[in-house]
Amino acid sequence: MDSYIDRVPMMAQREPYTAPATENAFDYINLGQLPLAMAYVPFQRWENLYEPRRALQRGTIFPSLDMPFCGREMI
Amino acid sequence: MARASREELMRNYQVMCFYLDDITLYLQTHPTDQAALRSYEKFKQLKMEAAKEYTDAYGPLHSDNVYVTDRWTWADMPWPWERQE
Repeated sequence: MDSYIDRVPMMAQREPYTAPATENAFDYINLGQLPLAMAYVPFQRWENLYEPRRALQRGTIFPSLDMPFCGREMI
Repeated sequence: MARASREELMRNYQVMCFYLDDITLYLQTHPTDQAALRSYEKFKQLKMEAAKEYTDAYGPLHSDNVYVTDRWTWADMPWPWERQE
């Protein structure tokens, strides 16, 4: 029987993540080749932290997670 | 040097608490990330220093860091709902 996992490109079938966040398997995947109707959460990296006061103002220490949803397009 | 205000020291403590909380969340999913572990140690220290700075100047932040003298000082400070403008 056809299995979903057989259709995921080889690059996505790497070893489970154990090492520090120095690479991200999703960076190597051509999104257009992924199966439809499956959700993906790219693994977060430790990078470019806000300085402490700004972090509290923004509600996160990670600029990559600072995504205010304002109900309109942001510039 | 002028003494730091209560608000300033409280803000500094809150900033460090928040930073440490967010590092903690990250470490739940990245338990071997060495850079994150180093930051955890750093901000744990900064949070302790911020707490001590506040406590030394304005009294206990938590009921388990009252400096006991001959009097129970925990209830001497204004309560959170007694905001002084």
